[in-house]
Amino acid sequence: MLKYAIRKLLLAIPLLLGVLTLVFILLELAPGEPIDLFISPEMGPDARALLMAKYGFDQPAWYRYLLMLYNVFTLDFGISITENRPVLELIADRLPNTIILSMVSLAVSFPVGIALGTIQAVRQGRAEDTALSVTSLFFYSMPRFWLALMLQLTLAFWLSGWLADTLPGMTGSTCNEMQGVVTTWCEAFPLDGMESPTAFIWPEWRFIPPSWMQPIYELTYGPEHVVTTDNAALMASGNWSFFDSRRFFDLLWHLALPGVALGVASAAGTARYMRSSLLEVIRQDYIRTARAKGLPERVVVLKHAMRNALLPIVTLLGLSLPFLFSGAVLTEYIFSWPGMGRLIVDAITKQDTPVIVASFLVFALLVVLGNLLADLAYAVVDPRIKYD
Amino acid sequence: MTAIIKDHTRNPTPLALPGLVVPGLGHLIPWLGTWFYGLRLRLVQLQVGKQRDAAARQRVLEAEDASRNWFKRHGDHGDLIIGVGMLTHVAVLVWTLVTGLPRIGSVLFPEIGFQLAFTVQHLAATFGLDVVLTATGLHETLGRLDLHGLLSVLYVIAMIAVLWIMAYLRAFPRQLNEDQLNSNGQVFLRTMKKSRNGMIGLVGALMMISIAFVTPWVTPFDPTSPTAINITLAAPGWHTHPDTGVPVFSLLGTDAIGRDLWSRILYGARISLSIGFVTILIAGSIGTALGAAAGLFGGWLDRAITWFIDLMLSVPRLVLLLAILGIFGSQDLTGSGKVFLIVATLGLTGWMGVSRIVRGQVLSLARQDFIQAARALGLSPLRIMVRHLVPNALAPVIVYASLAVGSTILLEAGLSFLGIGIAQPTPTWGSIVSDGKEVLLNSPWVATFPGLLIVWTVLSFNLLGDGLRDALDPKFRGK
Repeated sequence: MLKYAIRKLLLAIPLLLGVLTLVFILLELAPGEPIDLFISPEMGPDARALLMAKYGFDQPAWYRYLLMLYNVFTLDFGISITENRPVLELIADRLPNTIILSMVSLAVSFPVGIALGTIQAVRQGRAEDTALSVTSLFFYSMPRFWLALMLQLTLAFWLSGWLADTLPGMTGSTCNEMQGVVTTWCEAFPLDGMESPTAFIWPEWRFIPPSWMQPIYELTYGPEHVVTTDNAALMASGNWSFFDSRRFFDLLWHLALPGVALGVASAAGTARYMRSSLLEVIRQDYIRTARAKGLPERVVVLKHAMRNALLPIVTLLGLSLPFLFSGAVLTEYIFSWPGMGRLIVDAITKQDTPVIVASFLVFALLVVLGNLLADLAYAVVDPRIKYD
Repeated sequence: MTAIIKDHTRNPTPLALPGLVVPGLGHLIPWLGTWFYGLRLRLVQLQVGKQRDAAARQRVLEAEDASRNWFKRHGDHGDLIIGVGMLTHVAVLVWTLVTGLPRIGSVLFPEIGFQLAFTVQHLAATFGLDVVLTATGLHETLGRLDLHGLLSVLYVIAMIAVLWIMAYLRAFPRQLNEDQLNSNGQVFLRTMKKSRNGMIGLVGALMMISIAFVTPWVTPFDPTSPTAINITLAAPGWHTHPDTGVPVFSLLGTDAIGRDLWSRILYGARISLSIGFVTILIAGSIGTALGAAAGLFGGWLDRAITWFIDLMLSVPRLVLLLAILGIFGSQDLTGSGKVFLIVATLGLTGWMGVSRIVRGQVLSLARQDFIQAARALGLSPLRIMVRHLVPNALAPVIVYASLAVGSTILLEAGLSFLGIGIAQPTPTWGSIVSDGKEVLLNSPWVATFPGLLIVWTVLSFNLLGDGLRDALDPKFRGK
């Protein structure tokens, strides 16, 4: 198993080298040099030549290529032109957020897709199948960014307004009063962002727990119900952790809409794939054997058929990563999610070449690693694959 | 019994059209008549199926025969009926086109001038309401006797011809022998027709393409200039022009600058659809060539191409596009230059799927006897590739292409949405949604309608792809 993993990992290296080469060729083909951005008319005639020499653009291409490889392998991606910070630092800030968003959405959308696909296959040709097929194809054909906007409009805006108007605890003055302090208290879902602006807010009136839930509730939110801790002060005190329940729930709450916007399409795709995969398996002889043994249909489907139908889904998991990250770029842009996608879009609008190149590489690395993991997972779940 | 029913569908009495049953209707709309005819056959079949015993079934069929015999006894003037119907329809059509769609009217009779039509304004004018509209910008620059208008007229004529041919074939189905019935093309057509999803997708896609073709007639306002309505963020409905005081009607409202959304979305359809198709052409040819070469030659070439495919697939396509457009798009490109850059970039980053499919197909085909025979005959690899391998490997590529049109449209919309696609005054679906993002909470119609149109288009192409796969893949045939 280890050998197999190592071999796969070694095979990923030329792929990454190829990606680097691709980036280099792209930059070589690009009109002008990155230093043109620094040059202004009042600089004098030899400024360009000096800058070219300073940044090494007067060197031959092969030298710059090797230099770039060296820089990448020493994790030196240069300094962002617009932010004036090391690119690596920027990426270290943003990457975890993207991974949280895409992995949570993947972790939710795949099980949902598998369940829906199974229902469709078991009920093939009936009303459930048709309805689910149409629905999943509808969501599959929907632009993610448009779905995201519609979610913002309906769930974050209209629903919030409706709640503020109708719910007894949130009516009129209460809501407005609170709005003066913390805007997010009146929201059903947050419009954008990754955490509530000024405080960790999961106030107890967001839902009134029944009395039997009181102990759990106290355990979750702490004995003091009203939480007015200042975000910055708490962070400065160092007395918090990522899994601090309030912060955690706040993150989940902010994750809901972007997660759905990102995950719906992949759930629909998974459902379609799972349906056809399961239909193919159900036709096999061993399923007929299982039925002939007199096993209940539930056992036949869940134990015999689904296990085999899930094998190609593991491959799909690896293949769907590029699409997921593509979708994450748009979703992050809409929900102001401070991740890699926003970083690269901002970099492009500001022509920040070092950041473009670095984000490009990071995405490629993520996909290669994801595919590697999917390969390994496939080897684990499919006993027919040998580990040599 | 089944045989009889089959005979009914295959050899319908061609001329017992509802033109006789419903006088007038068949004359006016001949194809509607033939559709009625087809529908009646279907109803007869259903009735036959419902009968309990053979005698009852026979009675239904006899009643049907009797009614057909009645038509036969009273003379079979079907040709005349269809002919007169079609001529009437031509007259109606010409009348409609000349009066109802002054865009075409102005092509034929320039002195009519350009009036806006096919809109509520025109209807209002017909009923004597004083609705005067000024057309500006794009509509004026397109001129009266322009290529655009002429092409559109030709297109309408072609569409109508297709409809009539379909109606005619429905009324007089060709007699096919067994071989022809079981030929690949016939099996494809039959399965395709049976696939409900495929037909829905085909109709949806054709409707979208037709709308894109007739855009200049059905858009009342200039998509790039706000002067015609001149109200920012007007809701869908009637408004009063702030300068002239003339009532104007905006079907889908206006955007933040005051441009009519209906016009913008329809012009956007042209751009989105053409980008989708041209991209698939580019990606399909590159992918087919590389995949066929990899499968046919094998060895190091195969390994190199496969590695390159893996390489290209290891970067999310949107990120790759963003990087390329970010690096190259910095120059000030004019409208068509930018379109060219985007189409080229989309094409050059979209060929990998086709390539994989073709490679797999070629590998499985290359083992078959007819390729061995071609090799033994001493045909050149290029000839084997072009004449034998590619046509046989084409079916899954067509399916993939139809699905890829949808995903390309989505991708291009995403690029425009991020503001990296086609430059601003030119309307594209993505950029309209992007405009709508800024005013989403106050004026949701701006972002909503173009999104709905994207869903419609992409859904159509996905359904079409499903239907094509059912019809082209032997695994799914006969089900």
